[in-house]
Amino acid sequence: MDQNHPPLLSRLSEPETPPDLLDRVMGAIRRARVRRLRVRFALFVSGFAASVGYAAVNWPLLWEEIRTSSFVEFLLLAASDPDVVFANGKDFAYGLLEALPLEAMLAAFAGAFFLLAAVVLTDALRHIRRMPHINHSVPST
Amino acid sequence: METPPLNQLSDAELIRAYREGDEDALAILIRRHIGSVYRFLYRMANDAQTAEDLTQETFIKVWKHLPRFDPSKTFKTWTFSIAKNSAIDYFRKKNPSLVKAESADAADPLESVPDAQPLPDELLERKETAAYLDEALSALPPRTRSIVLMHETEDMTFQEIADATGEPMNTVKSRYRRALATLKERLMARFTREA
Repeated sequence: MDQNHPPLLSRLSEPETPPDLLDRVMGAIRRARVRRLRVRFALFVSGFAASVGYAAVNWPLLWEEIRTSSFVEFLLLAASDPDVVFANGKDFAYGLLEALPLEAMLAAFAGAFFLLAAVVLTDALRHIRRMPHINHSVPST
Repeated sequence: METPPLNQLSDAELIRAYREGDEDALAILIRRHIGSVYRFLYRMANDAQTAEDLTQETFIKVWKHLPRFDPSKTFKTWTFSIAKNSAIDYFRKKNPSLVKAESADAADPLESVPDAQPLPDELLERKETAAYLDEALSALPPRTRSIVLMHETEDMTFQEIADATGEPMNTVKSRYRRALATLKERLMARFTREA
């Protein structure tokens, strides 16, 4: 502190911290955490619903894409003649990639991702709700 | 090797423990600083309920941004930066012109501020001094008041205050000296009126 300025503000009254303030702060943080998880849960459930809705509306097109692509045949070949597949690995890989029913796969992955995220968040929400409430209040002297 | 109890860990170690999933570390970290943050906000707002609300708001922001906190910085300085901003936002809503006027009237760091004469001891010892001081402090603009409080009551260095406020150190020092001179002038004027 500057030597030319005696501790003027040492004369200020010292406010006492309310003993339950920490408890209230931790409670507010807990509520904010639950709120944040709920918002994310709602977003992921909406994403899952949108994926399912998209697949349902476009099911004929998606099924036609899977049916006409040779993707399933490639997979059946790998299961029935693995030796042939390993012998022609590079060609098989290129063929498989070209045959991918991209739109159907993207819809399936998106749905799976949103569903998995929603399940994980449900678990996180349950975990927070099950956490015992710890009283952080400072006992008054 | 036994890990020391959480309350013996430094702030940086508590933050690391919290990031690794230890929820108790956050409570201990907040407990360590809640008193000083509350006192600072009480003296800023001069109202207990407002101070409690702002303290809660401050630590919710601390929790939200803790994952991105840079451990090379001091946690206390960072927390006080958030607390100061919460207080300024409160004053901006309450009295926008006051905050605007202070921003426009930035102290010139190159202008020398003469040291104010110390108050006579007998005035400092009077029981009304604390009340007059509260009054004079409340009359200071919010940013200036926060600098005075951080230095005088929280023992923060001018460098730490500069980091917390985002202002250059010379500006912080200049504002501080002017504020102390103003406080003493107001106190003397008050005592003179009473005499």
